[in-house]
Amino acid sequence: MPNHISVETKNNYSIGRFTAMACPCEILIDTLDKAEALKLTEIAYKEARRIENKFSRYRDDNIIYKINHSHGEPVLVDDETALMMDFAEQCYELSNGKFDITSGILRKAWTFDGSDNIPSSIEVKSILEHIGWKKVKWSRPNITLPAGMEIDLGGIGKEYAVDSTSKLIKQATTSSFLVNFGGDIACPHPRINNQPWVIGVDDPENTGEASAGKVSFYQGGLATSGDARRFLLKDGVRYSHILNPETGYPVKNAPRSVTVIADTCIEAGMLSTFAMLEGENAISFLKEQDVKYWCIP
Amino acid sequence: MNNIKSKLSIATCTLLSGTQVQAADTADNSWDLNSSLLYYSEADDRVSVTKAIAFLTGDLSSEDSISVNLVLDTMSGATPTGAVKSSSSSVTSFTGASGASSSIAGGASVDRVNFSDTRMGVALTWAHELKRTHKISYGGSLSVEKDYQSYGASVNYSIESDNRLNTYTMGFAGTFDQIYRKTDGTPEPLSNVEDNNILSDGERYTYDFILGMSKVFNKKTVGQLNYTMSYSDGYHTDPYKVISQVRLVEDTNSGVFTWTELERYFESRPDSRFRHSIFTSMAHQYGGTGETVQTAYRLYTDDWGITSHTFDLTHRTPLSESSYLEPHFRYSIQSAADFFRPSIIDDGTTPVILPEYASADNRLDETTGITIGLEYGMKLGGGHLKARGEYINWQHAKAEYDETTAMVMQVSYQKLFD
Repeated sequence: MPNHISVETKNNYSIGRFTAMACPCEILIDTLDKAEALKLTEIAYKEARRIENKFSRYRDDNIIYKINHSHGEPVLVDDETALMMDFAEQCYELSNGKFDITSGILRKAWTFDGSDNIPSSIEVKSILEHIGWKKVKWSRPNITLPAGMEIDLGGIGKEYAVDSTSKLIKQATTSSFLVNFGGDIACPHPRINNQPWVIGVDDPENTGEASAGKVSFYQGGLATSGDARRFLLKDGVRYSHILNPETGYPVKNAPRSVTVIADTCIEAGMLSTFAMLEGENAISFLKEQDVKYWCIP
Repeated sequence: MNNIKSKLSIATCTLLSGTQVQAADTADNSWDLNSSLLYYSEADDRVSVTKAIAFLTGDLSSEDSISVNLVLDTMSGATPTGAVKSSSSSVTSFTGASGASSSIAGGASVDRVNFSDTRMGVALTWAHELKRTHKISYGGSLSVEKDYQSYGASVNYSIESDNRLNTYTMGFAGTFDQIYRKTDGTPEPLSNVEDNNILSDGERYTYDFILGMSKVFNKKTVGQLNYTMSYSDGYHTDPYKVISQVRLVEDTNSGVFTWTELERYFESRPDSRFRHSIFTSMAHQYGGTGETVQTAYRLYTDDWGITSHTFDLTHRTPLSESSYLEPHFRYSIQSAADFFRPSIIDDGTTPVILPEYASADNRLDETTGITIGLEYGMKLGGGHLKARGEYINWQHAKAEYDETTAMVMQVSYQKLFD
């Protein structure tokens, strides 16, 4: 067995594991055939790494690097990247500008380490000048990013990888399976006997150690947004790591965690992210969306 | 707040299926309006046209879009008829050896005819995306003026390559035109103007076939190549144009010989025309701020004997983030139609045999044209404002009016509403 992945057989399913996109990844497969589980986990591993390599902003050899270092020059992008840009643009519009893939550079001002390190308003303002999807010229297949701006697909990439992987595995097997990359989950068809996969929702107070609840998951996509350990505390105000790209400041009174079930992982991910961006209106927003959700206030 | 799940589902579906579907958000209510006002004026009080254009395009659904093009022209002026200039004639009345006579009403200019007209045009196009890279569009058009009516229909099919770098287009169009004079039908070709032999309205059918290809060579260079074949059948003559029969006549007082008009006939053109044209253009962006140079060349040839070459060059220089200046230069040369002649010569010794086809229209003459223009564009109120001015000069080799000079001024505004 390749040493970057492991496969374990449970009583009525197999589980393949590896690390990608800086998080633990799991493939649960409704089979006891270890060879098949290994084959499918390999597919997942390859696809996760492919997407990570292609869209990570931490690399200097991919399209994101090229766009972020284009100094205002147009960059020709491939079809898959173009689809991501189209999708990011639609998310920007659907969220009324709250979801913005150019807002990543706000992290230069905000470091969410649980401290009271709040940036000055001047610092935030100077960064805001370089934020705003509206300033990006996206004319398929060319993207022109004004100098000083950056795009970051971190808010879409992992969920996209889950759906894309799940699509590939679906082509390779008839068994039911579940793809879980760091809590972003897809399960395109139900299990044998119509049993649910039971998903534990991480307790934001004791992240990684306790479950705040359990979700029975039959089919579709599931994703959770939350601020777990990433926040700042000053004068008793808790600043979540969800930043509003229009103000440059964290969204106030957002829930600690929002879990959404939708048709696909990326849809669930966007809805949970949009809900967080709504701050105190998160729950009323979710109610209007006609989806299953769990909210930890 | 509203429910965005359905719109998000469509967007997600697009992303994951790799199928390009427009976002429902834009499909619902995104309209692009392009309006413009153009003024064209020829020197010497010849033709002047004021053109108002409105072009509206929008999405009906994720696969369908529609565009509406409205044009309103008001035209007026005095256009050369093809007759020799009255000033070159030292007599106002002449009786020829043949016995025919022609008289010219004192003071009236006959080499030019005053006109004024209004044209209204409407064109509708419906484009439908069959699958990700295949698109079909259907168009219909109608144009009406006092002496001309035109009805057209077209279908275009375009295919994009999987990487969307190449686009191939094929199209057919059919047009039916009705041509007549404001007051009556059409004059009998090569009949004497005096006789006033009027026939019924002229009708013409035109069929066009277009093959096109555009290619993105790299992120800064795009090219285009089009071939158009067009066949038209029916009435091609201009019902207002005439041609003079002239003879060198000595003025008995001064002893000076001048070309003098003896007869005047309505012009006559063949009843079919077969045209081919090849158009190629290339745009290239360079430099740090987006300077763009665009070159184009068009080769045109038809079975009337006209061949033309047109070279076009524009250069766009951004002035700031939101404005640019674009000089434009065009040069064209055209050979004359086989049946073009400035007049029908009567040598006074052998009887004149009228040719089958004859026209003195300076647009069919051997012509060299130069256009110099400048366009300024800027972003304004969420849209784009453009203003351009052009100077055009045509030098005609043999026509009675051997030069046409015109100015074009255009202001347009384009805005996307959503």
